[in-house]
Amino acid sequence: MPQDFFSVSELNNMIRDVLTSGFPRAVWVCGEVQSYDRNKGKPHAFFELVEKDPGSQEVKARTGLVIWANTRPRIEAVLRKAENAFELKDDIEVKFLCRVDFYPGFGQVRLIVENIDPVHTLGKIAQDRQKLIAELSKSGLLQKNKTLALPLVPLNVGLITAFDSAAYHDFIDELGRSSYAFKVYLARALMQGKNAPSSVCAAIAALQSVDQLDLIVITRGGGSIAELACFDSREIVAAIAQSKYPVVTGIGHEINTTIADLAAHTYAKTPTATAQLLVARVREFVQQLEAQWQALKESASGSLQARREHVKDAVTEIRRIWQDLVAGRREHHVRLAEQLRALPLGAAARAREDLLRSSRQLKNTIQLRLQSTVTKIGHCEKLIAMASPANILKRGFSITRSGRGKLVTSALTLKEGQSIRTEFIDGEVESIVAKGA
Amino acid sequence: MPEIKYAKAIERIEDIIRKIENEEIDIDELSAHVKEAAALVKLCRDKIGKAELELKDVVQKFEEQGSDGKG
Repeated sequence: MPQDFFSVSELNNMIRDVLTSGFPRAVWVCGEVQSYDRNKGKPHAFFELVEKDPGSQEVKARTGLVIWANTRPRIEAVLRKAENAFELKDDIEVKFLCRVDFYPGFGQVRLIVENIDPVHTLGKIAQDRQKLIAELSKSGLLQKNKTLALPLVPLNVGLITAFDSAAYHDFIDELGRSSYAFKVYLARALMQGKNAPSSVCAAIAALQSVDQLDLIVITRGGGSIAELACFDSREIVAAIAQSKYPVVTGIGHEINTTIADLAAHTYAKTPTATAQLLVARVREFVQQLEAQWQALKESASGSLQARREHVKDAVTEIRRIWQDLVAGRREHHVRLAEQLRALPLGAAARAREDLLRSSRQLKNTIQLRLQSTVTKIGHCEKLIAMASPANILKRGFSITRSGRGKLVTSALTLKEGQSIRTEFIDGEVESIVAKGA
Repeated sequence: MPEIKYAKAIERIEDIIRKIENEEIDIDELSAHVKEAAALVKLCRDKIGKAELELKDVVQKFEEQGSDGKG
């Protein structure tokens, strides 16, 4: 009697047969990769593709996939050859060529990955990126950091990178080679993977509290476009826009720029190029300073030279005037000497005799004058002697004084009974006026 | 702020050059101005050059702030 039911395996095998006949060829399927990262180090990769609601971002549908170990090298080769190489990882949208299979052991539909179309993923990344750029640009976040002034001498640098990475060493070594006094404040951060944006944002925030920074550098080494996609981050862009310090990025990619690059004040391609940019800026200042100093020295010495010329001119002028004067005087002397020389010899002798004669005459005149003076003086002495009171008294005159000793020169001043004294050559007598004049 | 000093230094030197060229500075002031400029140039040179690169790790701060942010 035939069975009226299937065993589980019988049914699963039938489902498998129906499925495989319904999907005779592999099909292309698109979706966002999930649970891929947990496969690291395993030979086969089991993961899911999901489809999200464009509005709510909730998962609408999901399906399981597997990349068998023998298929993996082929998939990786295709990705490596792509224009912008990327790696499979969670959260990226990927287009796979799959064979629809049913695994009877688990009763599950499973898509067996046979190939991949990298163009789709790159296109999707680019498209999302363009959308985000347009949105951020409209909100002004991409322009905000550019309004900050880049310091003339950016010596105090806040550095955001993975400590001890190649990027870190490239950057530090390049600054070190410059021999300028760079001071680097390192804020370590994760520079790849899901947690990179929040780590970079925390580092930007930490550097805001460092005083007197000149700028912040965010740098990492080169990577695939998908690896660098974490810098196409709204979160990082917002942090850069809010930074009080200018941000310079060096997120190593030769062809494309990340959105973080667009939000930065300035961007360079590599860590080394970023360091060179800072060094060049400092050098430019130093050169400007030296040029100005040179110009100042030249203009100062030019000014001194001009003043020296003035002084020299003045000295020359004074010397010329002096020489003219001296020459004039000398000419006069020469003229006199010539005049003297022009006199005849006899005339000179006569002039000498005249001089001797006149000097003799002068001597005689002086002697005569002297003698007459001496005679006059003798005469005067006699007169003076005769006029002395003693000599007058000798000759019989006397001097009368009042009682108080006042000289009496008029009889009219004396009254009757007044006492008077009379001086003679040999003594005095006192008398009383008997009768007035 | 050291950065302001750099800009001011250049500005001051330019100012002195202009004054010399316009003959606004007499001979007594000239030497004082040149000395001032020389001091500025030396200050800048000393601040910028002849120094080893200095490295400070602000990782502690960052980690604190990072955990604050998460918490």
